[in-house]
Amino acid sequence: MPRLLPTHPKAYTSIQYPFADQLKKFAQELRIGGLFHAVNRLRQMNHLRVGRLVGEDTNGNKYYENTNVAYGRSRWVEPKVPLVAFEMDKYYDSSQVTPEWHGWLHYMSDKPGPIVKAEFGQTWTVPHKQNPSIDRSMHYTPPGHWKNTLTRGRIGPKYEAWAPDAADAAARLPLRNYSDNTHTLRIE
Amino acid sequence: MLAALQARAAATARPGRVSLQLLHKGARGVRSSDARASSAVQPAQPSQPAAVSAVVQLDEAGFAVLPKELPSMRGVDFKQELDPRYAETIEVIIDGHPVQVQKGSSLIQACEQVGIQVPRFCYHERLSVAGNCRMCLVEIEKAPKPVAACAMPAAPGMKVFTNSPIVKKAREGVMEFLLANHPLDCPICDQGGECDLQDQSLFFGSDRGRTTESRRGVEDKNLGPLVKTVMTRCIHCTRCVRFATEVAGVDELGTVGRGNAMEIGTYVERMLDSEISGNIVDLCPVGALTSKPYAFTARPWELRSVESIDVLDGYGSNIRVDTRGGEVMRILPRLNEDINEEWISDKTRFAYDGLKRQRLDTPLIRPDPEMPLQPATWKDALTLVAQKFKATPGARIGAFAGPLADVESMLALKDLCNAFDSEAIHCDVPAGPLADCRAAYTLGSTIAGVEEADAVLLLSTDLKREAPLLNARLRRRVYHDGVRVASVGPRVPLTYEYEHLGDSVSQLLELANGTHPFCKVLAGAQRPLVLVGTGAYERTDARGVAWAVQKLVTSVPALIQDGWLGFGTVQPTAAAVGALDLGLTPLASSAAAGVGASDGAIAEPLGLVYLLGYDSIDLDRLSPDAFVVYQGHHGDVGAETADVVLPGSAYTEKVGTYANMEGRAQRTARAVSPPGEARDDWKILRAISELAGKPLPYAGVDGIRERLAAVAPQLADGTESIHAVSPDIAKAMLAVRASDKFDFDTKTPFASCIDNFYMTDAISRASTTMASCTKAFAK
Ligand code: SF4
Ligand code: FES
Repeated sequence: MPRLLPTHPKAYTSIQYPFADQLKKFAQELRIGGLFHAVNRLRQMNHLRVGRLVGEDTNGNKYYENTNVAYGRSRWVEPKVPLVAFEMDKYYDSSQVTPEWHGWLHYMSDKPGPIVKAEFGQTWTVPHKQNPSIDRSMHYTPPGHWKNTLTRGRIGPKYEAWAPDAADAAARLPLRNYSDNTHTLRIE
Repeated sequence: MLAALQARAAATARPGRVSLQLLHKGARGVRSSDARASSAVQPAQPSQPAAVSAVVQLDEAGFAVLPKELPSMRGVDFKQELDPRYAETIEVIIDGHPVQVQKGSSLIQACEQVGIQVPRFCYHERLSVAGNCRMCLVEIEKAPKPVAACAMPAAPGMKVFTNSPIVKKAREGVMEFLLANHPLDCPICDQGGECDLQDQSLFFGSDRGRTTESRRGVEDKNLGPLVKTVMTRCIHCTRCVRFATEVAGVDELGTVGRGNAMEIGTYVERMLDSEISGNIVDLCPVGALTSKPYAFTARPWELRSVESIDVLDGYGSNIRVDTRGGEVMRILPRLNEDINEEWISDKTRFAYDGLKRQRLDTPLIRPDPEMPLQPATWKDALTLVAQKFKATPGARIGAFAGPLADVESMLALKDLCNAFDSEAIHCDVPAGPLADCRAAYTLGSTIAGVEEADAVLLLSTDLKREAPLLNARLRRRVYHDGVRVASVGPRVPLTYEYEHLGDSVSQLLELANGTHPFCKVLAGAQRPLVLVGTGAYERTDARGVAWAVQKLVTSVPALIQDGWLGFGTVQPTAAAVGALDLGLTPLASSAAAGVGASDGAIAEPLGLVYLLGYDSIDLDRLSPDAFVVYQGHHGDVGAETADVVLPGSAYTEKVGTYANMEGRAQRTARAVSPPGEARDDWKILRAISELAGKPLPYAGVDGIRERLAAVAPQLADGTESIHAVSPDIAKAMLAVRASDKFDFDTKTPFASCIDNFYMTDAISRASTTMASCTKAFAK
C-alpha cells in the first residue's frame, strides 16, 4: 500500500544512542591529537566539545566557537593547563579571561580579542593580571574554619546578671554586641 | 483586596512613614493589625480613624461615605475640630470620582481622606508644609504643569489626577533626581527595609538612571550620642529641621547653603540637646538620621514587634517593642492621639539597653549579715521570706513599692501585708497631703486636654524634663494661640516663652491670696490650668504648700467647672497614680523616706522591710536588725541592702497594668521572657502568701484582675479610658479650712523633682546609652 504521508527521517536521540555524540567527538579528538590527547581531554573536561579555534589571549587561554550548538553554548574558553594536570581547578579561574576577549566570550560583541585590542586598546593600559586569590593559600578563612588555627570567639550573653561581688562582675563575659564583632570573631 | 491591604498597612504603618512600605511586606502589617483588633486589653483608640477611612465606600449617588472623624483632623490644631468652618466639606473630583472632602485640607490630605496615598517625602501631617521634595506632584485639570499636592489647597470642583501618565512621569523624574545624589549603600544602611526612598523608588521610580556625574559627598555631623548621621544620604526634605524647630523647640538644626551645596546640620558643631530628639530618626525618610545605639544590630524584617506601654516616666507613651531572639532590639513609638501622638521621649526610646544590664536573674540569700549575697533556689528564698512574715508582728512589717511597680504586684503586696496585719504599705510618691483626692494627684484636665487651656500656671516643675511631650503640647498652644504660661519654680528653658514669677513660697502665697497680678489672668481665663510638679511636695513644708495650692485652686472658680478640671499633678513615675488609686501610703517627703516613717511620724522600727523595686531607701533609718527583702529586676541600691533578693521582671517581660499621670490604665505586653529564673512580680507575692499559710484569694491572672476590679475599678476595666472625677467631688475634697496655719520655708526655692532626665529609675540608671547622654547633656 502506498504511503500517503511522507515518513520522517529517523531521529537519533540521545535516549536511543546515549554516547553517540560523545563517541563522535572522541573520534574527532583522536583525529586531531591522537589517543593521549583525546583521553587527557576527556579526563580534564568530562564533556567533550569540538569547535573552531578563534584565537588565543596573552594568558594562553584558547577561545573556541562551534556555531552548530545552541546559542549560549557556542563559545567557550579552554584555559591553559599543563599537559598532565591533576586538581584541574588549581589552574584556572574566570578572571584569567583577558578584557579584550571578555566581550566576545559573553556574546556582548562578535569581535574577537585582537580586533577589540586594535580598535579600543590604549597605550596606557596596564597588562592584564588574574585575580591572585585563585591561590588557595591566599583565601580568607574566618576564625573557626578548619584551616584557620584561630578559634572562634564566644558570642556574649544576652543580658548581664547583677553580681553582688565586684570580683564576679569583672570576670563576666562582655555583653553580646552585634554591631562590632571583635569580641565574637576575634579578628586580629 | 489591594485597597483593603493598603488600608491595613496604613493602619499599622510606622508613624511618619508612607504606608506603602508595608505593602510588599503585607503579611507583617496584617498580622500586627489583627493582633491589635483582637486584643481586648488594648482596643483601638476612638481617635484613630485611619483604619476605617482608607477604604472608600460609595453611597447610591456615588459619593464617598466618610467616617465621622477624618484623619486629617489628627495633628490639626485643636480649635479646628470645634470650629464649624472646618466641619464643612467641599466636592473635589479625584481620579474621576466625585468625593466630599473636608474644607481647608490640602490635596494630599484630600486624597488621603478617600484612601488614595500620594507618595511624599517632605510632607508630614504634624509638621508645617515645606513642599521641597516634589514627590507628591499630581495633575490638576487646566493647570499648566503638575502641582505639589501637599502645598495645594483643595478647591471646590477641582479635578485631580493622581495616576495619569504626566504624574507618573513627573514622579519618575523626581525620583531620578533624588537618586542622582543618593549613595548606593543600601546594604550597609540601617534604614534598609524600612526606607521610604527604597520603597518609593521601587513603586514610582525608573529602572535606570542616566546620570554620569559624580555624586556629591557631605560630611557627617555629630548630633550627640543618640542620633547617627550619614549626611550624604540626606534628600533635604527638612523634616528633621521642622521637627526640631516646631515640635522640639530647639533651633540648633538648620540648613546651610543652597542647591547642590545645601547641607543639613548645626551651624557650628553642637549636639542636639532635646529630650525628644530621637523622633527625628523616625521622621527621616532615608537613612541620613538613624539610631546610634541600634546601628548595625538588626534588620527590620528580623524583628518581632509587640505593642506595649512605656513605664520609664509617668506619661504612659504607647510604644512598640521590637525584639529578636528574646532580646529587645529597639523601641519605637506607637500612635495614640490622646497621649504621645506619634512621638516618644529619648529615655523611652533609648533606655532599653538598661534592660540587659545589672539584671537579677536568680534568687539570692545573704546567709550572714557580714557575707555577700549567695545564689539560692526559689524554694529556699520564698520559704525564708514566708517564715519572716509569720514571725514578725504586723506592726513591724513595712512594704515599699518603687517607681516601676505595676498595679497587680502592688495589689498583691498590699493584700499580703494586710493579711499579716500590716498597714504600712508605702509608695514612692511624694503627693503627701493630697493623696486622697484623685483629682489632685492625677492630671485632671487629661494630657490632650492640656491643649484646651488658655492660661497655665506651673508650680515647682521643670516640665521639659518631667514630661517632655506634655511640654511639647503646651509649646504648640503657646505658639499657635498665644496661651500665657507662668511658672513658680526653677528658672529653666521650656522651649517657649513664659513668665517666671519666682521660685519661692511667697509667690505661691501671693497667688493663693489673690494678690499676685497673675491671678487676674487666671480669673479671666475660660479654661485655666494649674500644673503642680511633685517637687512641691518633697519639701519639708509640703503640707503648707498643699494647703496653699488648695486655696489657689478653690479661689479660681473656672479651674473646676463642668467638663473642666484645670488642676493636676505631673506625676514623674509610672507607678504613682496606680499606687495612690490602690490606697498605698505616699511618703510625706523624701526627707521622711526612711523606714518606719509613715507620713513623717516614726513608729516602731520595722523588723521586716519588703522592697518592691524600691531603691531610694534611707539606710540611716533602717534598724540594724531589720530583715530586708528586695523584689525587683535590677541590682541597684535596694538589692545591695537586701537579705533576700527575689528576681522579678521588667516592663517588657510581663503583662502589667500601669496608670499614667492622667489616670489612664494601660497594660504592657510581654515582649521577651524574663531573664534566668526571674518571675512575674505578683506571682512571687502570691507564692509567699501560700508558703506563709495565708494564701491570697486569687491564683490566676483573671483572679487578680477581678480583685483589682473590686478594689479599683478604674484600673481594671482595660478600656484605657479615663474615669473623670466629678467637679463637685473635686471641689469638696479640695476645700480648705481657713484656720489652718503652717510654717513656710521661704528660703528653699521650689525645685523640680528630677535633676537628671536621663537617669530616673533602675532601668535608665543601668543603661550605657543614658549614661553617655548624661555625660553629654546633663548640666
Ligand atoms: S536628614 Fe533626613 S529628615 Fe533631615 S532633611 Fe535630610 S532626609 Fe530629611
Ligand atoms: S510632599 Fe509635597 S513637595 Fe514634598
